[in-house]
Amino acid sequence: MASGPFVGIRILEFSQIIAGPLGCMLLADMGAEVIKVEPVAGEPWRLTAQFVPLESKTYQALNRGKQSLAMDLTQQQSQDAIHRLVADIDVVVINYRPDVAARLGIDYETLKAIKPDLIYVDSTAFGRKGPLAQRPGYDIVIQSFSGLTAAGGRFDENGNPTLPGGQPTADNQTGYAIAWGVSAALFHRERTGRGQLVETSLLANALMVQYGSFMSLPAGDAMVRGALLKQLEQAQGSGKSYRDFVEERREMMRRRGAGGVYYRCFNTKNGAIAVGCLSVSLREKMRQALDFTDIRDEPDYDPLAPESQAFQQELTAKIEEMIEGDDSEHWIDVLEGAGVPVSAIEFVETLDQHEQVIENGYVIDLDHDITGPQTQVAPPIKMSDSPPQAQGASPPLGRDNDAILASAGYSSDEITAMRDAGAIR
Amino acid sequence: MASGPLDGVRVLEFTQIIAGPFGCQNLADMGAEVIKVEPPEGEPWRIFGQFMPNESKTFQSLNRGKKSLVLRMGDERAQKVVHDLIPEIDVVVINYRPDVPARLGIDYETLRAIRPDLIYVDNTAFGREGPWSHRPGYDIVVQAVSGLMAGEAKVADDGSPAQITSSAMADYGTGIAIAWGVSAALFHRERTGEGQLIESTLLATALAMQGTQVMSLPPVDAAVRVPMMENIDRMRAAGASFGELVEAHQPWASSIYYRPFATSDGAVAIGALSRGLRDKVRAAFDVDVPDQDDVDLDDPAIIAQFAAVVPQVEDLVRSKTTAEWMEIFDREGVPGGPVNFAEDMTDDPQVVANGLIIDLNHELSGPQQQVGPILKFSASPLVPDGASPPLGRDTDEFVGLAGYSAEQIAELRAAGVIA
Repeated sequence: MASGPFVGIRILEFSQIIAGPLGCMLLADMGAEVIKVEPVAGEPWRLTAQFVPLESKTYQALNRGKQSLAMDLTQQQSQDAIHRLVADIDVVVINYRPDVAARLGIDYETLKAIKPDLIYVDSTAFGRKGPLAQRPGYDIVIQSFSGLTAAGGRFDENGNPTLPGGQPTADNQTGYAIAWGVSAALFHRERTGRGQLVETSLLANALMVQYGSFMSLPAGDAMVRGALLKQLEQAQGSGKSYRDFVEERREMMRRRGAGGVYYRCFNTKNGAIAVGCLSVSLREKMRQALDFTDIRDEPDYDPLAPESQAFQQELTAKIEEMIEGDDSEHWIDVLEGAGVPVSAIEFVETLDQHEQVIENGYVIDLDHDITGPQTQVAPPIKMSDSPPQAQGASPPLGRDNDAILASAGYSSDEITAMRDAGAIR
Repeated sequence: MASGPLDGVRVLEFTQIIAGPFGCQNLADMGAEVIKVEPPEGEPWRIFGQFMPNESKTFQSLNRGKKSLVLRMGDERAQKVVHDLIPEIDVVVINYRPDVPARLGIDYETLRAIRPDLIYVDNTAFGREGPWSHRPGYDIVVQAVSGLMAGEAKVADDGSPAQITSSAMADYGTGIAIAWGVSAALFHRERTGEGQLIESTLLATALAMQGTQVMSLPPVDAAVRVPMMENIDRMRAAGASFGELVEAHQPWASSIYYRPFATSDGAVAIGALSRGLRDKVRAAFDVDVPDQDDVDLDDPAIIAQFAAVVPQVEDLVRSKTTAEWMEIFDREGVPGGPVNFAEDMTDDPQVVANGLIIDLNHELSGPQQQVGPILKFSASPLVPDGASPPLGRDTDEFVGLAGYSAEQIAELRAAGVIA
């Protein structure tokens, strides 16, 4: 049975690929009944790298615990069915391009007229306003537009920029923002009886995770950000390449001295480790564990002084050489024993076997109607009184058509007629 | 004045660095009154990269709209102040290591005994269970443990792995999870009258961001994941370097549909994930290759044809400017964008038009601009309530709210318990 804080809440999802599906899956994990409205042919993510017809790993990973209503929304009778259904719906989540919702009769104004306290989440790529509002945008486009790609600073062997990480950061963050926005809006509705329009965008979320870089703070920016922007402006039109800019930005960040030997990765004799010391006391623990001295935490330390930089370069080379001289296990023992945050660098595919992951219940077993057993990552939040849990695997396409339409008052004859007309699968 | 869906909710924050402060800032943006408890010297992020005493950009970017209450929590009198304040508090957010809250008398059991419907968020690095539960963990360490860093596959010039520099992803994701968890728990309390313990961890967030890779799905994994990881295990046993391992971890071929390209004066990225969009990409680049849906992807002739078109398109893209390509992409309907820096975004017309820039004024350091809230609410709009607080600005107000007289407050201050 469903559990979680949102048992009894019904959500109608019009979304595809990652951000919207992830957001609605997180809400399903919290006990909401999520009805995913898909095109009769299935949403694009079902069709990317199918391993059996209409089933892909990416789809199954982002749509667990939902119901599937496969429907041709360009047909009037399908739109009528949605309007009948909305009377019993608490939340609508949509991530179509700005003009599409009105065309399909599922825009906020239309649906609010049917259900006045509806919560309606409108997630777009670039926001509803501005010169790019109508532009299609996927995670890669927004990562690049927002500065994430440039901050990653990676290039392939031909000099083309490459995406930071294997992860769709803008999509992932937006999925979380959708779950959070719905949660807060439900609280507000519970207290005031009012629904509302909730808007978010991939762009807003991509900027949010680059908080400090985006922020303009005249009193503190002169040293790094101001100089960087000035340099970028001067370089514009001077024939410098994107790569030159990226490398200049990295050099300026490095000069700011964030981290030094205390917050970075090192090669070891048999692999690699990462250490993370962001406070004076942790840095002192690392110095003791590795038996070295540093001028950095002395009261009159000036990170920009040439002698400071020479000292840091020498220190960095020394520590790198020391750590490369022994195995990861050795350094983890030494640093861990001294209370220094440290880890080996792992691949995500091995983690469902990691005892830390298993003991915290982060791996869950599910069974898909068609493709059988699978494991997934658990809901990222635990709650003691209303525990979230995955409510099942992802649905086969259109599995729940009949039950959902029946819940909106359709007879089996009406459902058959819609199916014959191609309005539903 | 505060507005937003959490108007009237009071949050007591015991957190530092990014995840907890960002989570509580999200709650403050929603109208909650957030009281940040800090040690007398300020939290570490205030001190890291100070541009004036106790003020840093990183701190100011993650603590807007909060109150600052300075307590020396090692002192029992400070713990008593917290206990006296708890009846006025709806939500506690804490991100100390597992053994610390009980030592300071601010663990869930102790505080719930004072306020039974308290919502208490316990955020840790690795979770309360398991062999790593006692370990300290910062974003970089969780990036390493969770596979995010190896997935990034960025290798420094000397062959060592490089951290993910685009963003502290595990921290920021957890900050949103905290705001989401609190919002859902407030809803639950409103319906049932019950508070509860919420646990979030950097590790869980980092894994959730990699859900598809963490997922084990035997019918699919037999073809890619299983042989890839077997190969990596063999390479590890044979002493392969990190660079060689991440190479082996990325078996897919490059394509022209979802990737960035260098242009003559910068770079653009395109993202086409459906058949219709791939058709538009081919039209924009004027290339004559079949779609992947229409061919046998294991056919060596097709593999060769697809591989040959990649450098051809790379050369083509390099022959025009970014602006010229954006015109072409707009005309053909290809999702695309220039590759910008985050620092460029503060005055970008698209960003400004959507209200994603907010102007704030800090009491000590003056005017600043920040990213606005990531959500817009029509009935209960999110309006950030001021810049970050100077250290201890609100100590008197909240020790007073806990029932202490001006004299008692002066005594506590003289004893160094508050500041």
